Amino acid sequence: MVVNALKPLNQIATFLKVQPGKITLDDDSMPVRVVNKNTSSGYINIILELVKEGKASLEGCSDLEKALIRQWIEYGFVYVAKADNPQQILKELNAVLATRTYLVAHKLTIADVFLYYFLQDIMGKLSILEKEKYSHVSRWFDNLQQNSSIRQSNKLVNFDTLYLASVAPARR
Amino acid sequence: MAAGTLYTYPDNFRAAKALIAAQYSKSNVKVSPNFVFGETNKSKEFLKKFPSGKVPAFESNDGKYLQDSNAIAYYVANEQLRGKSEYEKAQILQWVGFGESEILPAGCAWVFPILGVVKKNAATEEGYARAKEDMRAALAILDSHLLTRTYLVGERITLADIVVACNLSNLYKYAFDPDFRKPFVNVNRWFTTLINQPQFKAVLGQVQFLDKVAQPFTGAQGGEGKNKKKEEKKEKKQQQQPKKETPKKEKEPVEEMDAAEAALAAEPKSKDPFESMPKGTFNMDDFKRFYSNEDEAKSIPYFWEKFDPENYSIWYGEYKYPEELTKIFMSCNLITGMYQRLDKMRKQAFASVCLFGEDNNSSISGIWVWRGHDLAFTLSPDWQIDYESYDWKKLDAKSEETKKLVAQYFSWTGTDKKGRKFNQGKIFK
Repeated sequence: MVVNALKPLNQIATFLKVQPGKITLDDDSMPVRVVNKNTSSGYINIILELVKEGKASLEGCSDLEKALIRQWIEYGFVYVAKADNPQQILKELNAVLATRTYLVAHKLTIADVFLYYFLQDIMGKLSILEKEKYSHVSRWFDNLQQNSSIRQSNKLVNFDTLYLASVAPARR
Repeated sequence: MAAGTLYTYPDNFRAAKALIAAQYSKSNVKVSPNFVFGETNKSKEFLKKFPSGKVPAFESNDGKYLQDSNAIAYYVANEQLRGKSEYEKAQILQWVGFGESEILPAGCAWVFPILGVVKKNAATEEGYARAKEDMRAALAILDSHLLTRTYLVGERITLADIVVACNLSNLYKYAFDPDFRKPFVNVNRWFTTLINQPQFKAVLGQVQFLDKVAQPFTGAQGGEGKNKKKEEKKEKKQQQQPKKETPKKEKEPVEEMDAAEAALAAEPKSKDPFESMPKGTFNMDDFKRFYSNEDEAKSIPYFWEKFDPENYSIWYGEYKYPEELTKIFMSCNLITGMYQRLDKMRKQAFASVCLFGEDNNSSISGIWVWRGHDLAFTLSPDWQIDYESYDWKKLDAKSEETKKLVAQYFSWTGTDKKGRKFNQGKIFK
């Protein structure tokens, strides 16, 4: 499946409250952003530029964290966006998110926000059983979409049925 | 926002709840630096504010008192931590209850034998044997809840997370070996996220997960020689703490508490320590009234006119450690705190204590008048907390020098010995 690549970038700009400028795809389907006569291209460049302009502390602290954020953005537009088989992506992410609340470090970063936008279509189409199968991705995704400034006008994906399993039973 | 002082021994996981909550709400909660476990919380003054004598205990800057770590944490928290809707608040309470009734009993039965806090006997051994299974059951509930949720309540960190995580902190440090904690993937993920939040780190420091199986009833856990001393110290501090969570097993501290209560009960409550001394002619209340209502130009001569040197004495008290005084407001608290602790002395004593100088360069000294000719503080055990921090000099009521000193201190003027200017005065009356 092919993800509409421009929508996530514009949504990130809205989330960060910065001017998106004019973002288009070039012949190689690479995004190009033009704002105030400055041109930048490529997902990582544009996203990090937006974060910088938004003065949001979402870009990671250590060099390792910064590298990981770049890795996840790349993962997003290379693998998620062009995935023929979303199951594989979900399996990988589920394994990562089993032990992590956020993708990088222990707090929200732009990597989470970016992948949330990139996974919109995939998550929206999952069956109830699939959502349960990839429970860690579901939990992570649900956490992000409950933040209204991240979700914006995206459809709220329903994870409700999952909650049935977890009504705390009385002990013994 | 709630600002105040927290009374606790160091590294108390209960106190940590309040301190983490304060980190989030940016409330100004200070840990009382002078707190000595087993002493401060058994003093009469402390028990008056906090009848159970338990810590942590909280005293707000505007004189409100709170006990119980969860209540204190709630008070110093902010809206996000307390829950935004009635339902969220109720859910948070639910998890606080879970932390206290499902996690803590098994947790203490497990951790205390490892830390060597409890002695080996039939009850503690049985408790230890059961603790693992009880804990497994509790963690299973927590784990299934956290499978679909990032945090316990809502999508942000709340008091529920703070309370349950703090109750689990010693378990991750001392009891949960890698095999035990492995199945609880979601609890591990959630706990790791929490302890790595800057607000948690600021209070708990780095929480090290246990990397082997801990042995109970061996005194120091793991046999790490280097840490032993530290561990022992910690144990000592914790020794009297656990009464709340495992009342059955903690015979010793309960008895100690009883002894303290007995001592308090045995003390003759209403006896005036000054009773044995003749009343004399100096009417303390009358002078205090006059001093409050009139100018010093009138009240100082009035004092000398009425003063009864036969039965009353005048003292000069100077704080011994002026180099330790920093902020002016803290020094003032020192004076007013002393006054509070001397509450019962008020009837028969009057004082004007002055602070000279400025921040980081100041001194405290004052003129005291009381019934009798000896140092009054020795008359009652309640009055002996502060007086040893002062040098006391009895003044000759007839000398000109005394007259000058009295005039200076009563009228809040002049300088101290080193020429620091008068800054503030406090009257004990």
